[in-house]
Amino acid sequence: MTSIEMEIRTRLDVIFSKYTPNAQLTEFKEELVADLIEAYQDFAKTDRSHDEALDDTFDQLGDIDTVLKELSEQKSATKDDTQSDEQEQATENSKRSFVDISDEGVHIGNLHINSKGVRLGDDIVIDGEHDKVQFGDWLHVDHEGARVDDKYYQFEGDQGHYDFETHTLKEPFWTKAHHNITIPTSDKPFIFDYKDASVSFYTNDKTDLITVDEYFSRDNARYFARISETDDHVLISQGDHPMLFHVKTAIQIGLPQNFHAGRVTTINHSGSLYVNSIALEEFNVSVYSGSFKAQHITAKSGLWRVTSGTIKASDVKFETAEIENKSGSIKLEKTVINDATVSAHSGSIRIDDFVGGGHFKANSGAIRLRLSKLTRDLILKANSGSIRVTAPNNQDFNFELSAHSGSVSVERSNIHFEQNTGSYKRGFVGIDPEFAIEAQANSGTVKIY
Amino acid sequence: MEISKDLIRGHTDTIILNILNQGDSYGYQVSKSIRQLSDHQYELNEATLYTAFRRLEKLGDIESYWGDETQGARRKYYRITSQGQDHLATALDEWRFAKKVISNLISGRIEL
Repeated sequence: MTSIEMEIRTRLDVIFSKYTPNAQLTEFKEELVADLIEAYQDFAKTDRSHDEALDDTFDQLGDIDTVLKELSEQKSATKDDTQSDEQEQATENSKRSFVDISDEGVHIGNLHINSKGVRLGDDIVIDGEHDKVQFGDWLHVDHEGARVDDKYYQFEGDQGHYDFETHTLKEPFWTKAHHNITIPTSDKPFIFDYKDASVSFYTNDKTDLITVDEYFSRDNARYFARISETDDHVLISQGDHPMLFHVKTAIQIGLPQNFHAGRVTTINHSGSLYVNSIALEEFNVSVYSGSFKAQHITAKSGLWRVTSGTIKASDVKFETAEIENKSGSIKLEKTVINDATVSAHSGSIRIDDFVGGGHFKANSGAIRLRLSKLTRDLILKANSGSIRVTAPNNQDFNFELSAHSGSVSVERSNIHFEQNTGSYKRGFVGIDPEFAIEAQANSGTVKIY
Repeated sequence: MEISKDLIRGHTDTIILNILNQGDSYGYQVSKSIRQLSDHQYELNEATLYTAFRRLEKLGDIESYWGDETQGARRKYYRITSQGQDHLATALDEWRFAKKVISNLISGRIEL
């Protein structure tokens, strides 16, 4: 087996691992392997690096989850399926040498070991790249938690949650103390400052009250939050936090409905931040160590800073936003930011279904944008990673693309070049361009589709 | 300009049948044929393609078999059945008829 086949198989294993294996799925995987190898070979002719070709191959494949879901729901016990399964086994065995050891990895029968992990058939997978361990259907472990047979254990611990249908809070099972605060809204900005807690934001069923529910795994009034008000702001800060023993802390902050003029800043020194369904004037986030997950956010402006951890958000609407991640990736989807400033120091930036424009900068990671619509110029800079942009379907645009040591490409019909060399291209696509895509890569490539 | 997805959606099966009617083929090659036939104006999402293969196979319009490649992974080939050929012929007739009527409907001048 070639190394590329092994890499394709490893990636497919990850995609397939969400589904319970059956004959149809195995057969479909084999079909995909052959098709993807050929697609990879085509991309490898034009792409600069092996990884880029592999990424393009999987990009082109698109979202196969619907097919997989459909296939995984079919019963695999019919006669036809058993037959094809056997045939499959026969093909698997005949087409490769049983033992294959190279610099790329070790392959013995259906045991594959390479730099990315270990795989034995479809049943036993140790995937170092995605931090995943799986033993058949019996044990699955990943970042989120572990599933053993039909029991599920969440690693982050139960943080409780707000049920939007019943408008009730569910407290974490480990709660020893529950402290509740209500604060009337005001024109002043609200600052929530937590040192070590898991913090969630949601919209409550009140009209002019902010609710803060704090849950602690030890009962002591010293731990409860304090509120102070100055001329400039209202500050809600975490109570005492003992250094000697750990107090599990989960905070659920409910913002009132119609708080569209609200200005909220949340500071989290250590711990995760979850935000679901809020609409404000201003929503600022500072997380020093921990991840930040968000969905359904609308605000005029926002300043998001994460020092170490990932930023992941879906359905976000801002007029202007500044998003920065020092060490970790930024991944957004269904995002509208008319004027965006996005930077990642050591991670990558990815936005799917993006409406907007602005400045994007990645130092060591890649920039990948799928644009639905440009609302202003887009200026992209990558130092050591590549830049890849899927331009809007029905919008003409100007472009100026340069790569210091890599190559530059534009794959569109109706391109007019003003300058066109391997590492610098300037011109426009279509007939009536309004905005420009400017991209500059130092050591990576630049590609516009 | 790009062809609207709404316009082409109902024709996915016919497109695949037309390609397979000209010779057995496999997933990636079919997607390349579609790109080529449309002069790079249309690209069928591969996920959609695999869903269509499954649907057509269930209907009995196409059938699949494994190739005997000696090198690399084995390909899964699809071939059109005689029922599929019948369906293709019907779809073509329907298209020729509809094309004329729709064209008249959306660009014809009303004579008083």
